[in-house]
Amino acid sequence: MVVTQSNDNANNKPGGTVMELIERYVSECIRHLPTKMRDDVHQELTVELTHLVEDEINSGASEHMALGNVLKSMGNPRVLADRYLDKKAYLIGPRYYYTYLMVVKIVLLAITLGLSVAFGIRILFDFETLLLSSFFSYISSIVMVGLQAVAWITIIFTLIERFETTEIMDEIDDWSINDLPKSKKTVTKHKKVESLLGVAFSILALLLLNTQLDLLGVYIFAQGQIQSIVPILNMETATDWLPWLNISILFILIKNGLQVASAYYDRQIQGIILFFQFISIALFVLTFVLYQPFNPLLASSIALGNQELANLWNNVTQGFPWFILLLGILDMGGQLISNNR
Amino acid sequence: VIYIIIVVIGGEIMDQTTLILDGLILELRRGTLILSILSQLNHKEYPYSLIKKLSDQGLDIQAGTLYPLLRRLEEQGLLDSTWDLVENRPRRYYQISNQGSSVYQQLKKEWLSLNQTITQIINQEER
Repeated sequence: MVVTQSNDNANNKPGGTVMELIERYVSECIRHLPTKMRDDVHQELTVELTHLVEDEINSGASEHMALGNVLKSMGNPRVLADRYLDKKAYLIGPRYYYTYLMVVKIVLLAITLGLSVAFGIRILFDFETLLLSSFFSYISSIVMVGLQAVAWITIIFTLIERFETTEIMDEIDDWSINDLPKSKKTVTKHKKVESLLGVAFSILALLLLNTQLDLLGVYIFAQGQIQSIVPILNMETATDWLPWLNISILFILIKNGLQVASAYYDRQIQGIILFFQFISIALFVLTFVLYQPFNPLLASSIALGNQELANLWNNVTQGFPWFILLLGILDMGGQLISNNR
Repeated sequence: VIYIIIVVIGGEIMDQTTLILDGLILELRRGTLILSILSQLNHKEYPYSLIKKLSDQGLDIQAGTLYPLLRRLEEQGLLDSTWDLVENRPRRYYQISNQGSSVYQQLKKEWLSLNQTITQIINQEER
């Protein structure tokens, strides 16, 4: 028996002929498929469902009972579409989920800390007029910046999940005991805390440099109240040096993030960490040498005509990048020695 | 009251057991479906005829499972498909490809060896 196109009103509970209902089911399914697949799946499903219904009718069922049985066995059209797509029905899989949660927690903590420090400084600076409005802007900043950060972290992890190459999977599948790191050094709790603080301070530095640059300065008090702030950094040339400083801090953030995420250090991880640290220090030092981001008028703004202070400030600004370079070299050297021990 | 509690708890346990069993059977069957499908496609078949063919031999497969599976196998290169007109209706026919035949032979070998091993293990355990 062939399915008719007639409208059997007595039995048409869902409304429409059998063919119309098949068409509705198929359309609902292909709606969730990519355009290039739709025509093909539409044609095939329609023909096949018609045959299944005819078979049920030949076994003695009424048209609509047959249709009901067939569509019930096919299941929810959305689920059927998912089967056609065979897609990953999640954003972040189990392999990255806990790392993702950890990164979100660290970043949110650092953002809250950073904005709280900025809020505290603002309150100190102008307690009476800004308290209420600052408090609301502080809360809304935490929510807004926090949401943005979570969104970006989620996007990055989702991309990693989607574009994870098969080579990585092959590497995981082909793993053997010989692939165990030769010199495995378990990361101590002390080192983890150190790296966590590093992440928090990097985010704090990024936040302060990019949103509260004017607050980074020497606070001049008069009668127990802050009278003015003399910026430590040269705000007029900030567009020149700030992007490089941001990149440098981002590298140190990645380095600390890697240290937090690694359960142990093998030579590869140690190499990557040292590489990021080297790039960060090099960029930092170069930025300070080439752009001289310190405020050249700081000494004269604090005490006009004080030659001693002017000389001191000059020495500090000239010596600062080399001091950082020395610290960086010592730190990296110390790490190299401890890694090879 | 005690009787009711026993019945309710007993029913719950039975439900859970059935649920676990259903899940395990599904997992067990899932791996063998592809082998069964490949075994039947030496000659071209359309999905409906394949369902009937498998059902006649005692293997029931849901149409909603089969259609997407056939597409996936085709995308993997294990099946070829063509559209033909039958009784003035276009139908999509599937047939095993050369690559599919080679994969099927390997799978069959694996299945026969696995079947033998598992049967041996089960029989030893039951003895």
